[in-house]
Amino acid sequence: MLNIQFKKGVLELCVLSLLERGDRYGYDVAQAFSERIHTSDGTVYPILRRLSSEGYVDSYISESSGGPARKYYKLTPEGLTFKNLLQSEWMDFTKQVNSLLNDGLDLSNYEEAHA
Amino acid sequence: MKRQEYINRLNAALSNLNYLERQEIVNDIIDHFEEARQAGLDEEAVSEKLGTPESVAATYFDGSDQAPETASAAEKDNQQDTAPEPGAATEPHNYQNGPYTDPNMFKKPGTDSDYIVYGVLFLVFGIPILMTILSLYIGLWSGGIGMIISGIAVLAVGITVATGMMLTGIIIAALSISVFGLGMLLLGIGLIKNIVKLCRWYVNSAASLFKTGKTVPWNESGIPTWKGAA
Repeated sequence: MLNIQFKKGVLELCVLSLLERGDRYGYDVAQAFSERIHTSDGTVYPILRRLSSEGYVDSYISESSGGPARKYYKLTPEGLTFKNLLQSEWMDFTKQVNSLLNDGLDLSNYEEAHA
Repeated sequence: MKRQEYINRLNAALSNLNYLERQEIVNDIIDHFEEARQAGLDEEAVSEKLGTPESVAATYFDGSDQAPETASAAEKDNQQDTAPEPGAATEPHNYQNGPYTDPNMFKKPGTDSDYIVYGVLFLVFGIPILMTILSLYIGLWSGGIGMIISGIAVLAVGITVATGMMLTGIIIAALSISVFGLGMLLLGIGLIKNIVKLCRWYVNSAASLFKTGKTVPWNESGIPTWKGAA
């Protein structure tokens, strides 16, 4: 199981990726997460709040049919740039980890390659 | 855990935050419960999936002295970083070294232009409305105090007459006056307590409206009942 702290950091990238595909409200984001990642729903809201405070995400209220007004979150241009940066770092990181695993955790190969 | 209990515990766990910050967080969770209810989930299941109120609250703190009661949890988390245990996601968590360390994370409710618009709106509409409400408030308050004083006076007169005059008819009349006075007294006390509650709700709702676009529910989300306000 992934380290919790690590997973929380990655969730930030996941939220940004979800919002890149369209505006979503908190519960919607939480459901999208619970379908794929084992995490409690309550972790989503602090992430959304932080991204909002950083200006990576905007929020607006929209009426819903037959229910309460929903608070939607929308990716900002700065958020898109940040998401691309995080994604690039993530891809690079996983590539290195995969490389390490495929080498059978032979650290000497990795050290030589990066000497 | 039922929704109201969850909200109460979340409010308590967030008590180190100011009212508006707390209210925004609680509103998100209330909305979550409402959406889940419409999706057919019961409150117990929603609470379970959210994680404990304390663990949710802990994720909003930045690791400073805002949450001293979670300091031991932070140490525990650091240990978990090296030896994570299954199910630890529902434990209090403190992101002292993680992505949630920015002390300004609660300090961007709007842009500068928003504040200018709010300021102009307040000057044009807010002050006259505020003065009207203040006048009404003072009037109601004075009325309540007046009723209490009148009630005490009538009660005193009734008791005096009842004890001074031993004639049966006069005693009955005096007791009636006393009951009337007591009624006025209770009415005055009730009026003042409800004015206090109404005013507190109004101020909190106005503040929340500016911040989140939502008013505060009358009987939940930490709004004190008149017993709490007294």
